[in-house]
Amino acid sequence: MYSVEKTKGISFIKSFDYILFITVLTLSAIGLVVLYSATLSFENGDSMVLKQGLALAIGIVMALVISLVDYKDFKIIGIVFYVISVVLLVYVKFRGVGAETWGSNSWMQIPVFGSFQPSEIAKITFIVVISTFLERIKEGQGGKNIAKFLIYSAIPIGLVILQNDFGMSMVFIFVFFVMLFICGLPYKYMLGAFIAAIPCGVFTWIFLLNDKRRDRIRFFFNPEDDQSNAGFQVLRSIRAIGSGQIFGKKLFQGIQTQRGTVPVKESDFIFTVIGEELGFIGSAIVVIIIFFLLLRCVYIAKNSRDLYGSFLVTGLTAMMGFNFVENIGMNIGIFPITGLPLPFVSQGGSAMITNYIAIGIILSVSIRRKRSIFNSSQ
Amino acid sequence: MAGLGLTMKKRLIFLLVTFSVLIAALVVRVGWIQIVQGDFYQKKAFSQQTRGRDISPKRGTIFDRNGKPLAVSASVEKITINPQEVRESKLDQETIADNLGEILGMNPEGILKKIKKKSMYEIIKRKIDDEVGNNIRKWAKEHDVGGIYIDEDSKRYYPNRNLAAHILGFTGDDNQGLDGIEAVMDKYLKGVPGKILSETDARGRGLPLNEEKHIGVQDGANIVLTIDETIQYFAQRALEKAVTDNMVLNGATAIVTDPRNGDILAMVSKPDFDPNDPFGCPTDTDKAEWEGMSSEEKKAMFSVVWRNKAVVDTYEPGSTFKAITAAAGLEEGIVTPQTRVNDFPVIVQGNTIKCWRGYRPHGEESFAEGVYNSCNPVFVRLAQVMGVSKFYKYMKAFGFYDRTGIELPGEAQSQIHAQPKEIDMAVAAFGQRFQISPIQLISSYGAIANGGTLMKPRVIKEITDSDGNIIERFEPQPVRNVISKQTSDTLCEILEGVVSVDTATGGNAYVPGYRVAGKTGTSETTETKSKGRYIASFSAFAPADNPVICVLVVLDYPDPSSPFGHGGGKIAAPVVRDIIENSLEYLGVERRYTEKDKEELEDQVTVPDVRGKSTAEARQILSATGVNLKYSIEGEGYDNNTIVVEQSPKPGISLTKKSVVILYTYKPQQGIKVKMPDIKNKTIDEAVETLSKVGLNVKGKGIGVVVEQQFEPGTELEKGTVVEVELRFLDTE
Repeated sequence: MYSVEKTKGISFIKSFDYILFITVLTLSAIGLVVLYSATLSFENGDSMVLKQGLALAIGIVMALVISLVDYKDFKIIGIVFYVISVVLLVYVKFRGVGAETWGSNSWMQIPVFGSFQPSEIAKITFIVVISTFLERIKEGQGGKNIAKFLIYSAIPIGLVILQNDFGMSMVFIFVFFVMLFICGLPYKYMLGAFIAAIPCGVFTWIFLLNDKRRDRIRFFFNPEDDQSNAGFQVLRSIRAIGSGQIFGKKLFQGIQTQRGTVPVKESDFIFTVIGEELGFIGSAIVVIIIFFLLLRCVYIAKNSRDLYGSFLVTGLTAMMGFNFVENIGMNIGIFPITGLPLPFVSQGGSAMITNYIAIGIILSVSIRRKRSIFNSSQ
Repeated sequence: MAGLGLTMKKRLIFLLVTFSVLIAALVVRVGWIQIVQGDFYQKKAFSQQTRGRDISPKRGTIFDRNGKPLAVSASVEKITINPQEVRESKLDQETIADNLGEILGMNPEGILKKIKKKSMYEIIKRKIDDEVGNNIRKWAKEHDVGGIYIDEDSKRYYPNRNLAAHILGFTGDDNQGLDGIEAVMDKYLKGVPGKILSETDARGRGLPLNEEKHIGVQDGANIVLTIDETIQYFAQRALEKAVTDNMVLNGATAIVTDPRNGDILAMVSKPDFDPNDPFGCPTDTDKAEWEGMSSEEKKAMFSVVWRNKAVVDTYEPGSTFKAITAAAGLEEGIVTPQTRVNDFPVIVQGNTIKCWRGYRPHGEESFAEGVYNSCNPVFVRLAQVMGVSKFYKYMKAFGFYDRTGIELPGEAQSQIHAQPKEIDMAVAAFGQRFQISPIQLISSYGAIANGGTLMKPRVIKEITDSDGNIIERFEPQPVRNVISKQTSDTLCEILEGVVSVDTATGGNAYVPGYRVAGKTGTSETTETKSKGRYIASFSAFAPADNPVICVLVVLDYPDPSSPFGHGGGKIAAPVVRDIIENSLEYLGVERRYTEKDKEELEDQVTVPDVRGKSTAEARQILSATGVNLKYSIEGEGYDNNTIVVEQSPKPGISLTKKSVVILYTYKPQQGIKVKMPDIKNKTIDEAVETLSKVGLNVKGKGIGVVVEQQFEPGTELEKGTVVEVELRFLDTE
């Protein structure tokens, strides 16, 4: 099989990326407080926050453990998780649950743990595996690897699309194109792909989207049309955010949040709670933290010791970045509603753990990145 | 191991720039919503959060000047539903509609329609009794039907029914004021509606375990009127009687004010309605007739019965206006009460104006007598001396050109010649050919009575909150000084003569002990020639030397076939008399009897108790009263020692002299019956004589000749019965 060249002589404590880690922890802490506020009016609000805290703790531990592992090992072990996640995706295709609550049967029930979405974990394994092929392509071993890259990409993307999970499908497709782009795909191909996407979009609209999803997109353009579902949600969230004005209504005192007029305020629309209760100042701080996080990730990708690390971080950053931008965008009515949660903030255990796994991988790359001469001489 | 190529680094930077742009866009958009549009969304959010079920505030009470409630709000309930929630109940919609309809006495189809609606709030029925509300509660609980809400509602209730209906007005289905004070003061009375907030999910369904919050409900303020419930009642009773007695066809109005401050103490307009049910059968309409009316006829009827004639109608004031002409003449020094005048016909621009008694003019007389006799030519000549500009200057000063500004809806604008010619002035001098509202006329009389200051009529005294604290006080408002105190005093004296001088026109308003000053009026209308429509009125105040009340009664179109005619002195003056007598007595104004009054009073005697006495003793006692109290003894074989067992009339009743007391020496099963004779048109002396012959007694009211007797001629009466009769001067104008 493959052999990997390990990075040696790294002091974990010294090289650890405290900047990234603290940024993520800050965002998670804000998220936990806001979630507490969002679920105040729920009967089971406390247990929701408790579960979220537990998921956060698990996530932090996993991130630290993963950061200890040299990311080059993922070239080998990643394929194992890839296979597992594909099997799970196939399983939920037939045995999945959750359509009533979340709009698609992409969930499975795990005893004790609760509900879990295999596509969350598949995102990571997908990035881990295709990064391997991209590195080889970039190193001049095209041909067979291009085919492998396409096949290994197509399987999870296809399965996710078949699940009818629009948001998740968009994440996969976005990550796929960003990685292709970073890999150096000529702009003319990118343009070609974009043009090709138009008939695909029409095809998707007609054959693949269910009514609920179609409404979400339709009402995105015309929210006033619909007072009960998607458009209704957006109007209410914009109104709640707007009423927060500059300083917000103070934590736990957002009238609309607390009175339940904000839809799915604990997950998809948690940014609305931030907007209403913390005002423009709070929202801006959260967005700036997110920007700083993405900036840091791109920096790590750019300074990765090798191409593989760079592709890994790029893919994971694209994944998180898409989630951040799309989620906040739908809260303020500039993107359609897709049901993508706000990473590290929205309620949801499997998303939290997945995101921390991603952070663990990025940390691993960061720890082993190239240092500037000045730094390495220390 | 290959390092990152330049392309890859460039593209990573490109990716970073893309994220930066997107993030910047998010911040800008968030800033736009929160900073630029923040206010807008803040307001929107507020209106959203208060979108719940309404709770009606308790509408303020309307009190009379003494704190007696005239309009109150009773707490009732209303049924509303959230159709979406109702539809989720286990019971099917048809059954729910049927059951609700049955409990509420409504058509189930209408309810079913509301249940099927897409909204989140539908009113099913308002103003239901608590009992019905409880039945709904029980039913909803039994059948586990959600989404049905029973909340407080308030219902307007007028305890005195049609009393002061036109002043109070009425409210509509939503408790909004539609007429009268209810409409004018609606913004104070209505209060601020509150909301019942309950948490809902995105679809407006109530979430379980939610507490309901009642917020923002603020009860309405109370209005204290200047109206005195008791005086209002006196005025209404007197006017109702006059309308019936005189077969008044076009309605009538009576206003009572306090001339010192312009307070409206009473204001009655007939026909009227019951504000508890303003859209129901009016007070004076026959139920059966009402049922038979078409909706157009009913509508026409409403416009009649809701009409506050005292304020929204105009009429030609007729001779009552002569007081104003007299005031102007006295103020200008053109006449004094003693000035010699005559009432021979006067020709103005080719029109001959004669005295009402043109067939036998009063001839030369003093100006005061001219007023007593209401001679038109006297006033025409007075106006001619004054000249057009001065005459109309006084009309303006007395406020006839302007609305009085009374706080009641729809006050009429008077119609007075814009460019009056001499003939216009000549007829205006005795109150014809211009239109003013009754409230304007009584205000001008107030100015005459109070020493010369025109007061703005005041109907609202103050606004109080629910604890009775005064929020706003409405002070009496003088408009301007119109005449001097001296003129006022002189005119008061003359007008008192109109009532007290034997031959004068206003004698029917005379109240023994109270000095009433006033002026009669019999106005012609455009329908006088064709239909015989006159407007009879009388305007007066009392006591003449220190007036505390001012009364105007206007009777529009007494039926020409009425036996009492259409003269203001005949039919309106007695109404004023009743109102003044009752009101002054109620207000505790002491009677000061004139010599003439005393003489008449001395004719009265109180029947002593002679039961249980011997006939001889009884005879002695009755003679000892010092008056000519007659008696007759009924029984067989009595002598001086026989005991009087029963007497008629009973002791304590006051009788005129020449009355007969019947003494019974046995216990009569039933008194001896006699037949009531006809005493119509007899003087009081003649009546007493006629009645005493058959053994009946008289109690008279008023002076003049008998116009009404308590019992029809031929009625069988017990001997000794006291017959009440009403007297009136019938030869006056």
